[in-house]
Amino acid sequence: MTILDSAKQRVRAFLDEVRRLADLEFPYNDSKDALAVLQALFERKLGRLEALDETNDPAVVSQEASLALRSLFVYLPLLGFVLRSTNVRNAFEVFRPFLRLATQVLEPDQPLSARTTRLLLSSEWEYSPFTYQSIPDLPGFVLIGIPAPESANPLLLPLAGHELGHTVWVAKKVCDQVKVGMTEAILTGLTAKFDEFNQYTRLSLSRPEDLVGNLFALTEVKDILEWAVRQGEETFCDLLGLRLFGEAYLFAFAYLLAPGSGDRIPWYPSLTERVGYLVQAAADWHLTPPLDYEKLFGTEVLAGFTAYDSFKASIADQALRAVFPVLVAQSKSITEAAGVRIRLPSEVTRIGDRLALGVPAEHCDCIADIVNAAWAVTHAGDLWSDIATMAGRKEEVLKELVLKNLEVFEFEQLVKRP
Amino acid sequence: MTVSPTQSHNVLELDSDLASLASQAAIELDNVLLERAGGLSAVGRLAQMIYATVPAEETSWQIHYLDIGNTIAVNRAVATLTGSSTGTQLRQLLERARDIAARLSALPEHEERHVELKDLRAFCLELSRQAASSRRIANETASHPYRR
Repeated sequence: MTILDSAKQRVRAFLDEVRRLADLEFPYNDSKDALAVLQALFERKLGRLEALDETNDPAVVSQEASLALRSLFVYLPLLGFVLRSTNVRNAFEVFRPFLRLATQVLEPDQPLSARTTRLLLSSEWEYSPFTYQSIPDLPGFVLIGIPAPESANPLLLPLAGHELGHTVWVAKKVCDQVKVGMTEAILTGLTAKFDEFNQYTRLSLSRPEDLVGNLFALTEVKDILEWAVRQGEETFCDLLGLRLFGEAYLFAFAYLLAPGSGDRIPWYPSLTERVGYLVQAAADWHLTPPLDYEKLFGTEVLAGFTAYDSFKASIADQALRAVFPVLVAQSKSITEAAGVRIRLPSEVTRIGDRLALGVPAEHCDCIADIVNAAWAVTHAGDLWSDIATMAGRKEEVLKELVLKNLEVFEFEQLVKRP
Repeated sequence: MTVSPTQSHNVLELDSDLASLASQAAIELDNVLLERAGGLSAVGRLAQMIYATVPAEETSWQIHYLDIGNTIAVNRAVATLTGSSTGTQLRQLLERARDIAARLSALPEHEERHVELKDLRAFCLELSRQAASSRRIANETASHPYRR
């Protein structure tokens, strides 16, 4: 079998799998739509491979086969994601309210009927929420994975707000707002530590201007900028989650991450810095973090990285610090332009009172109020101990109650819709 | 599903990332060498993408707006084409990249200079390889390219 034959066969097998998945039952059409897009993409790839033959240059055939293989590595996990998005362990009650929020943030200028954002929410087998961000061939799709043991826990919905941030980061071109500032900060940082940079890289640059003129130095600058941009993206996503969900984001963040694993990777801000940035933004937005919130989190070290990596990470950290105010302003202006308000304390109290009675609240205005009320009830101490069927089951009952509240909210939104 | 399995698709529709576009450009050039019918739309689009990567005017601010990843991929592909190092200065690279983009965009559909076609095909292939391998963030080894 030639390289071309096996390449075509692999793509056909992938397409067969797509067709098998398309026969499943889908609670929402968005997952099915994603399959349709992937099918069209791989049919194009197969078509291009089928147009090649033994007369084509072998290197040309090999590269196209290599790209097709690369695509299989990229897209097969997405097929698994689509499959798991249909699993009944997902909290389907969350789907429509969160999709409504996502479309509001991503397409605020479009009328409801013209909004095209599609959402895939899936329970995943990794203990960290994640997203597949702006996959070039799946434009308009937001894919969010929640760890399986928590995928039916509506109190962690704010973390999906962070993951939505990754899509917003690209869609709103937030990177363009900070890249120049970050690059300047990196060049300033490297200029200040020019001798150290020369020692690590052994480039023997004679003057700081060579940092941008010398291609080898430029490659190093690129690496640091990539780390800084990724750190900026994570920080922006934290800020967007905070903006969308208020204090509930801080509670959910601490629930999942505190005290931290102790290890840091350089393209993430350290946990200490992340929390510091969150607390700083919370103060700017008149939100109230829990008392001693920062103390919930431990410090992290760059284990397994070289001294030069630590040096580069410190420069990337500086670049993030330089643009942090821009990220705060961006997350605020994006949510304001979308008409998404911060949680309202009076509503949080009203909804919390209803939940404490064991019933969902009517006439809610946004999911942030509901989720903040749920956290308030969580912190309210002993509840329902005098009700035999609910005694000792506070967390379990509350989760069900919040999911029911989200259903009521969605129903009311649908009824209100013209 | 909005697209049925039997529905036809334009198999020559271009992908938009640099690695795929450069590979499709290499296929088009190969087809010209084989005297097969077909256009040079990917070649034209690739030339535009390279022009976009290397700014037309050099200013002291260009570093801030440069797509450094794509620039470095172009640099490595140029080195393959010329068979030697492109030098160490960004200014030299930008000149050579603009030159390559001009050669790609000036190519007629029935180009008969086989040496030129083969050179540009080799460039496109190398650019595709370099762009594909530079997608990963520095030091990140295990993660999915679009996963955050």
